[in-house]
Amino acid sequence: MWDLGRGSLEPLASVSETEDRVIVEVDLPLVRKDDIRIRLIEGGLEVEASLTRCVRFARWGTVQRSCEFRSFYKLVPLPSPVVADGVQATFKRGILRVVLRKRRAREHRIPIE
Amino acid sequence: MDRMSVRVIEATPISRCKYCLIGVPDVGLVGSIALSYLIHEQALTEIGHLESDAFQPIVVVHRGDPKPPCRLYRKDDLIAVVSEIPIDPSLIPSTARAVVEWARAKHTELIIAFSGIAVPNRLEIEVPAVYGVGSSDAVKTLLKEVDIPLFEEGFLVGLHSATMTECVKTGVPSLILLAQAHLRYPDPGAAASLITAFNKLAGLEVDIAKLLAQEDEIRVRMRELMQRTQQQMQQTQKGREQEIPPMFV
Repeated sequence: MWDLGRGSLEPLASVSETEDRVIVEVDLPLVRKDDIRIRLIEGGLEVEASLTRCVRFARWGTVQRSCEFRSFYKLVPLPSPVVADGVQATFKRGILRVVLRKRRAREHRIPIE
Repeated sequence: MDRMSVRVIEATPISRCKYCLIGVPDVGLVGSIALSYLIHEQALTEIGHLESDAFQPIVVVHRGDPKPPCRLYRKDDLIAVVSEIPIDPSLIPSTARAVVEWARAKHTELIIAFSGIAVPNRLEIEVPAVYGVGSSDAVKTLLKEVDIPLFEEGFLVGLHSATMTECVKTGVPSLILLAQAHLRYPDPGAAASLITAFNKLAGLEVDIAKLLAQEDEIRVRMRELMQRTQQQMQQTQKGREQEIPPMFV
């Protein structure tokens, strides 16, 4: 859950669905709202956020001890196709919540014989 | 010796224990966070560990010293049983049995499992409430005396429920403390509520200010344990805790 090259940590995230919405939550401690960047891309929802201060695991492992992590990064795969319009994002107590509308399939009425 | 059996190994023998606290990775890691903080703040010392042939071959290295991941700490008449890894679901019954048998042999007055109960509106809650489940009327009275409300209906899944079952069976007084918590994210705020509840029960004054000040740091550092715990919780059907149990009026 970390990337030394990028200097980023992978945040915890969860995805849930309702009939017409996909809801993504991402845990982003040590982050300010203005430092979060969210993008809807082909592979899912990309979340990137810089930390308010660098995190260093001073005694952990071998190479990691000399590395400072400066940001969170995660590409959250989405379980259903969504539309870019009407996306709602809120950030409260370090938890980002993004609500996306599912793309509706064209409706076909099925007659009952 | 049964391969699945779990044993409590005392490096420093003890004869009596008033409170035996148990905190393992579970909902929001609240039991683990609360007990780690308590151990640090109250300067409990390591006195033993749990062992089993069925445990994964894992040691945790701290300050250069290899340690078993499930350890016991003590200060005066207070014992804390903690684990740095989630307990394998297949080992929950034998772990509960081992801890309760050991606590009983030490004439423990009360076993207290520190845990959380997931609530969907956790973000709206400033100070999480703590509920209690007591093994006997006497324990329920104790909860009432310190204004900890009873958790009255619902499923509980995990080491705390196995411990409670074992305690009811053997007559060891036991209590589960459940703080309202995030299910999937480390929740130091809920852990702080557990400590406040334990302060009331034990007449202690453990200051939670430092824990709350370190909240973000703890959330960053416990992501991986939380992720692994989530996987384990799925195996134990932890989702059952969100189900309404059948009730007969």
